[in-house]
Amino acid sequence: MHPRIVLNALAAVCAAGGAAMFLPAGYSLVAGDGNVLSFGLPALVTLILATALFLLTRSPDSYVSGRDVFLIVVLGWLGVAAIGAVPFVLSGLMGPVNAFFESMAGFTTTGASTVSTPEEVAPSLLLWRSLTQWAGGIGIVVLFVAVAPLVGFGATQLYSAEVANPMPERMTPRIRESAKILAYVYGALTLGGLVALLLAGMGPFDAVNHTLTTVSTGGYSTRSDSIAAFDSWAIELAIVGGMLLSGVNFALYFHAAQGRSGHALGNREFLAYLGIVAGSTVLLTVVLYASGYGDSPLTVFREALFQSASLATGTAFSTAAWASWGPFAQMFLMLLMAIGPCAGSTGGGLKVIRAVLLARHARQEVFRIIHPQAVTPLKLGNRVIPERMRAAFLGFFFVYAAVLVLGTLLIALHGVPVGASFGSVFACLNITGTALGPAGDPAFYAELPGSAKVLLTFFMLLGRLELFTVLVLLTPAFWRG
Amino acid sequence: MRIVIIGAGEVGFNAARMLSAEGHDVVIVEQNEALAEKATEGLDALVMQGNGASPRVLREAGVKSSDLLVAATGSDEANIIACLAAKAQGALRTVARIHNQDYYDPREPFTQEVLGIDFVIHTEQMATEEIMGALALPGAVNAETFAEGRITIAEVILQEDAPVVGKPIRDVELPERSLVVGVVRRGEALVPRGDTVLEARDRVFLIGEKRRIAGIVRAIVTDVEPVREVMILGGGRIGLRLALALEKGGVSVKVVERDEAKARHAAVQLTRGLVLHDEGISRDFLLQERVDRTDAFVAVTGDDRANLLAAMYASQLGAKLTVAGISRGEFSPLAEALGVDITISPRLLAAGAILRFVRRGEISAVTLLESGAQMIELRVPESHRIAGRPLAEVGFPRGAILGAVLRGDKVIIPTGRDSLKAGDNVVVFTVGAAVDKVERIFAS
Repeated sequence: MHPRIVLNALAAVCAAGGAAMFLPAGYSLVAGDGNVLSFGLPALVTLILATALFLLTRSPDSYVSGRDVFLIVVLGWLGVAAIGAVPFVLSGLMGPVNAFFESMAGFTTTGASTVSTPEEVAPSLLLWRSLTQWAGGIGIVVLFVAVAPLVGFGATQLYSAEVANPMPERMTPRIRESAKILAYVYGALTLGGLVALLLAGMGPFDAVNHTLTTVSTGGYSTRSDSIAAFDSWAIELAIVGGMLLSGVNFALYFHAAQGRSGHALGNREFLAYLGIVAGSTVLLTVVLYASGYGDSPLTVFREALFQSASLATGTAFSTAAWASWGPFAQMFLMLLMAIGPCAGSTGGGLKVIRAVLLARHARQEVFRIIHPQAVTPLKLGNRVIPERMRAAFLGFFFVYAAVLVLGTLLIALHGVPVGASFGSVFACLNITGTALGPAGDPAFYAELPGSAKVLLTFFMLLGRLELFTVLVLLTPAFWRG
Repeated sequence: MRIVIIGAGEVGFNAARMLSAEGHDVVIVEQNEALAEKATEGLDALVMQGNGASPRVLREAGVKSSDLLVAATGSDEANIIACLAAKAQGALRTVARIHNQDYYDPREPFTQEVLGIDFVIHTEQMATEEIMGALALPGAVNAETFAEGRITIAEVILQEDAPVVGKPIRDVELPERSLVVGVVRRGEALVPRGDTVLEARDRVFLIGEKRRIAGIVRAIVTDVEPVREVMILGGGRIGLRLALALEKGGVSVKVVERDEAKARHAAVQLTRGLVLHDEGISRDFLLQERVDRTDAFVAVTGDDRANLLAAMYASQLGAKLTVAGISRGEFSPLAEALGVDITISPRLLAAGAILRFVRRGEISAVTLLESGAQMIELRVPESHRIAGRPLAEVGFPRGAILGAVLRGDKVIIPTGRDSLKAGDNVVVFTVGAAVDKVERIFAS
């Protein structure tokens, strides 16, 4: 552990978070919604304090260990979420607990909210909500595509198994280089999304906000009816495209940028991901139409496509009240949310690669009952997943299930009904911000006891950072030696 | 011809024996004392004890004035160094046995050139092709092609219930343009005549045009189901190569390998094939993996005894066709007794390849059989005395039979009234010493 380096990096992260608040401050000035000080004050204070800390902890030593990375990541997310909550409190919109919940749901791109009617909230605050998601999105992509494979955690490691532990000193320039490319890709997606939404006929303010929450698969909307409020084919298609693109492993854009698009398109996880969304759209269209829902197959298809893409990527925008769909469709969408999109994307859930490997592993175990001596390496395309990684994703799945169950237990302790308890933990752990039942409704979160809300922010962080990254900080071994 | 052979192992020893029998001067260099002694006793050749990769030893062996160097030690590196050194000292041509494909890539002749090797013997590759050939022709245990792939000799084993058992050959009804060219009975080859009566377990050699051979085999073999399921014991160089080739051909394969790392490697390479980590020679295991349902059981581990034992079990348990890899000559007679259908011997394959290389020009192809019989392909030289005369008058030796003729692009199965023409390619089945007489007849 290197406290100076950790503090230095945290100061940089917080300074960036503070600086970002000048944007809504500026917008507030222009729009005249009276929140200039709510943003300007915390922005200034954070920037001054963080810069001071940054300068004080500067050191020529650039050695970063794996432990430092974990500490920086977890504390960084917590710190930024705390800073981001301040404007919500200063503007008088909500109390500190709700504000922290809102801010964490933003930076983790979960999209859960205690605000039922965004139309009544000042536009600069809505812009800030969207910005927190956008920032969280780029943060997670850089973390899991550029940093994780080098340090050795997360599902992207399953792809980059050949990255042997590099010299710690060399790590930083490589991360910086990759982060730069990822930022370009993310920026291009954002710009493309914005242009598409404007062309589709969305107003500029709505377009900016929805673009920011689409590429981050966050799902905050400026309307209480979400995308349904616009009732436009063009807007829905633009958003479906944006969500699907953001659900792709960003490493693939890397490959494509280097002229290896064939390599990227042949990626198994990518193909499985597209297959899941396409299959789900077809299945839901058929099931819903057969059950007499909707007037024409086309309208059912439209809703099925949007809901499949939205929930599979964990964005959780909605164009239809899927809570009114039949039990099969509802449970199926829950499954989509649990699987999530590709690893190394801005989406949440287990990730397609883990789901595919879990299914293969299960099949192999059954097969081994018939052929006890069978040698069954785990393969994904031409790539062989090392046995060590098999153990890792099995462990991941166990922890995921355990957190889901224990989390439900802890929320239920507050007197919340079982279904709602499970739904809220599910929504936070899978970074969807929504789930079957009351957990899809902001009013439900608003009424939860404070301690339950704090617990849920912890589950958001757990889900966002893929469990182990956070849990490792809770082990004594991490702090020893 | 003066020939230096490095290594007196199974391959070197056999090559030396055959080459000296053909009248070449053979010098054999062997480092191991016991092997050198065995070579001294068993070969009509000059045996030297020493490191064949050493330039000094090679000089003493007289590489400078030799026409050919055959590097046949077990070490690829030693073989390569020997070839390089020999080329530097003035040997005309070199042949090396190479195991590791990293050193040898048929698609990149350049590497071969750099290493100073004119001809590479890759026994694992040859063994794989040999087994593939046998499996590709349902009903046959072996299939050899000649005359630019136009003519095939198929070897079949007569089962007890085959309708031709007990009949003299003249009464066996074969399709047009086909012939029985040889019979191997209890390990001994014989040239069949009209009154030769076929027995159960006889290995019968049928010749015919390649595209018709399946029909010819069907005429005397009852079971000609195509091979769909193959179990391979040993996931090493031959086993894995074979498994990959079979898998590519749509055959379902099971590979059994006792070494865990090798098993894993094989499992990684195969896409659909199943790899089992087991010794593979226990009855229980073979039964559990349903060896009785496999169309072919191929035992190609590095251990002759394990191969024979496993193939025997598999045969008893009901595998339709059993193949065993056998590197040591003294085990080969056992195979027949144990009920193993096919033996694959790197020793014979390598020796055949060396012979083909040495005789290049005069003889287009040679295939050696375990029983000592040979199948050779020769060309009728220009304005030769045998051209134009009816075959009955040519006076073929008793131990030889002319099976087929390729004239232009026409395949002829000749009778005594037919005559040969200059430029014909002929395929001859010979037994014992008859091969020399046949070669003398065709010599220009």
